[in-house]
Amino acid sequence: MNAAVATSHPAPLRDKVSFWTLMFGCCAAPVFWAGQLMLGYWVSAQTCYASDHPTVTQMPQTLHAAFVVFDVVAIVAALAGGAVSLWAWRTTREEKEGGARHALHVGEGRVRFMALWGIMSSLWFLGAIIFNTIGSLMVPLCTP
Amino acid sequence: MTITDYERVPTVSTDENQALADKFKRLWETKPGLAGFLSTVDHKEIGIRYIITAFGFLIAGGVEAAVMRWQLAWPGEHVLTPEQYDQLFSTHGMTMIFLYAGPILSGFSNYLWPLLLGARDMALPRLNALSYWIYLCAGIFLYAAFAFGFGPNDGWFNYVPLAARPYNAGPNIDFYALGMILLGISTTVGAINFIVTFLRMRAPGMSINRVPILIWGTLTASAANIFAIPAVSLAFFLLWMDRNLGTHFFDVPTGGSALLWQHLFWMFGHPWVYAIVLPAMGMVSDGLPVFCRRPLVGYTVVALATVATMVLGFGVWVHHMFATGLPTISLSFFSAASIIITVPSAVAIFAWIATIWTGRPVFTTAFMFFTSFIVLFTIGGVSGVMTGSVPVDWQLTDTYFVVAHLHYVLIGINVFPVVGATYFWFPKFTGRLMDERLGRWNFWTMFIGFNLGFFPMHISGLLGMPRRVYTYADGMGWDWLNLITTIGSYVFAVGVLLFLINVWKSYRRGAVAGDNPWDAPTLEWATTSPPPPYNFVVIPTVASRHPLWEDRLQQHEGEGSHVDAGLVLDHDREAIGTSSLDATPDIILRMPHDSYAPVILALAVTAFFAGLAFHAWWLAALGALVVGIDIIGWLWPERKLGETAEPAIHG
Repeated sequence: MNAAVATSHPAPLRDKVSFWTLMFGCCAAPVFWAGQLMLGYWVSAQTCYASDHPTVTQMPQTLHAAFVVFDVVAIVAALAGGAVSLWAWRTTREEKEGGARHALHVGEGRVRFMALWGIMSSLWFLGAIIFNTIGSLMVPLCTP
Repeated sequence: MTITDYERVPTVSTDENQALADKFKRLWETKPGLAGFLSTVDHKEIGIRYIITAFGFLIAGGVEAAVMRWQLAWPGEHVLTPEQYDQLFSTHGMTMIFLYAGPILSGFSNYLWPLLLGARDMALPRLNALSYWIYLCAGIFLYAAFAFGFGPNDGWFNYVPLAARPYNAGPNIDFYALGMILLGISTTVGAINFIVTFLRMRAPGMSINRVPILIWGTLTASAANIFAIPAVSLAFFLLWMDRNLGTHFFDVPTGGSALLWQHLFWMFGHPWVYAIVLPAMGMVSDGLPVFCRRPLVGYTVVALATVATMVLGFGVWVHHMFATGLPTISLSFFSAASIIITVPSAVAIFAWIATIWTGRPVFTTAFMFFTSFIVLFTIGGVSGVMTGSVPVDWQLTDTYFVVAHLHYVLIGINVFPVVGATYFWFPKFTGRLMDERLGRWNFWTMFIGFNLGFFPMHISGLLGMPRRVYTYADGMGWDWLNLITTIGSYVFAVGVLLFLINVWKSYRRGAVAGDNPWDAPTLEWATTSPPPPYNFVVIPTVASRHPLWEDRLQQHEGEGSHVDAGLVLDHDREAIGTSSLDATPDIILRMPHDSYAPVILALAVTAFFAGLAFHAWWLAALGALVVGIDIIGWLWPERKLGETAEPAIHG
């Protein structure tokens, strides 16, 4: 860039954390939440409505096990996304002036901005995953 | 153009000289007259057309609503027959949701995006023109059918089996289905254009953490549309085949599924609701802080909330189907998502309130519309949470409570911000300020009328009044509520009329605005009002989210933004392509000149769909042929666009 219009780079610490690491942090929880939702809906609908009318009143053991697997995998993925984002944040929190408060309000420092997104995204979607988990553990399968 | 030209190092100018401006004007200006009208690819022209057309449909939908409210003002009215009422409420929904609410935001975004991003145009200008022309054609197609008594008559959601041939023998549903597929093409190409523009056309230095929230809103809405539109287009196509070719996708006795329609429709329908509110929320996030004289509180969180709302919005569609008998456990999943989606929405609401609380508010008309939006969004959001709860929804579904909720959402979070945004950006569009005194009358009439009209619908619903009834018997306890609703909706209509009068009056005789009448911080205010055809003489270089407020905010390190010095790009219609994350310049883009290809393609596609609607197969074939020829011509490599690169070494 010509010196007459030079500005400091928006992401000076871009070499410290890779793009794909940041993307994992931002996307792991939402992707696994979506997977948990879709798989949960699919297997429960298949089990409950094998024909036109509900055929199952008790949740089969295999379905229960499937829900547990979906729930655990989704929770672990969300926690992993959050942990990776937290690491990225700690690595890049000094990318631009000001601390967490400045990064939250102003957003300067592209890498730490994405790291913050990853932390918050993981927390929000972990909440959604836990809501689904509570549903899969406590709500009856087909009872109208 | 040679590879050498294509990859040359662009020159930098440190001042905006008149000779350059004159040269750019010659390069970028649309021809006058009909030729220019039909061939322009200027995003500002297209944006204004979108806005005017969408407001035209808003008026049409409003007139339909006024007739319906007259019918419902008293029990036992017979202004309309049941069949007429069916068409009227279906067409009203179709108009407001598909022909007004989405396109109006496309209009604002089309106009504003390149200006906000410091670019000369959208990434794909011809596709932009195509998007508008198809939208216009789809609107005319749908309304032409309505004018002949063939408007949709099964609600805007068009449930089967009522929409199937045995129960709906006329051509109404066929026109609706084909019109919606046509409109879907417009929305899809528009969405692609926004996404590519975001990824490639931001001014140097405008990394993803420096873009205005409106950009995030339209971007997420566009990404959602890419996934959502195919579901509804497929649904309408399958329905059209069921009705015309004898297939059985939705025909239960022959193995089809009525619920398949609802799934496909609402997989689109609920994300669409967010697609038609998130850009409007972005307008408020960008406009409100200007009148609070401070930056938005919690930019990072609000930007993420915008994206998160859209992602969660894909996991809530089944809450429109709670009463269909789906497995209880799966209802709980979608109920959970419907309730947790309030978290990002609440984050945004608290950010707006904190911005007002910690700022120094200037009570302009735009500010009043933006703040009223927060109130209406909260009311609409709370009633949404109520219907997101399965047992509550079972009580409320198909009642007027739901009608109240959706109007609080769609008018509160779309119409109010759009009117506020018009007051805010009108000076940029026209060079003139809107009348503030008339604006106050406009605001209070709309706000009081809206709440008077739509809040009582909650009570009507709680008292058991069902949706979609053309009249009701005396003594049900709904009489006075309906009368109040009608009075309120007419007051609201007067408010909208005052707005239109203000637009006309201000356009003709409004005070001259100047480049930046609100002392706003973003790039669109760095150019003239209205902007020249090329937007910026030099491409700005950005060092913060508020290039025009940097001196007072001190939010950048080292050199600040440059809005009067930057890349020139004057060899032809040129723009700078920048990297997706950090907006570092990496290529000179040759932009297309004005072209008739988009309007011809739109007409040909419409002819194809008209052929299908009338079973005039020759017309469909002719339309398809012209579409093919037009696309070949459109994609034919052009030397001027650098699509036929020549060797760099000559002689």
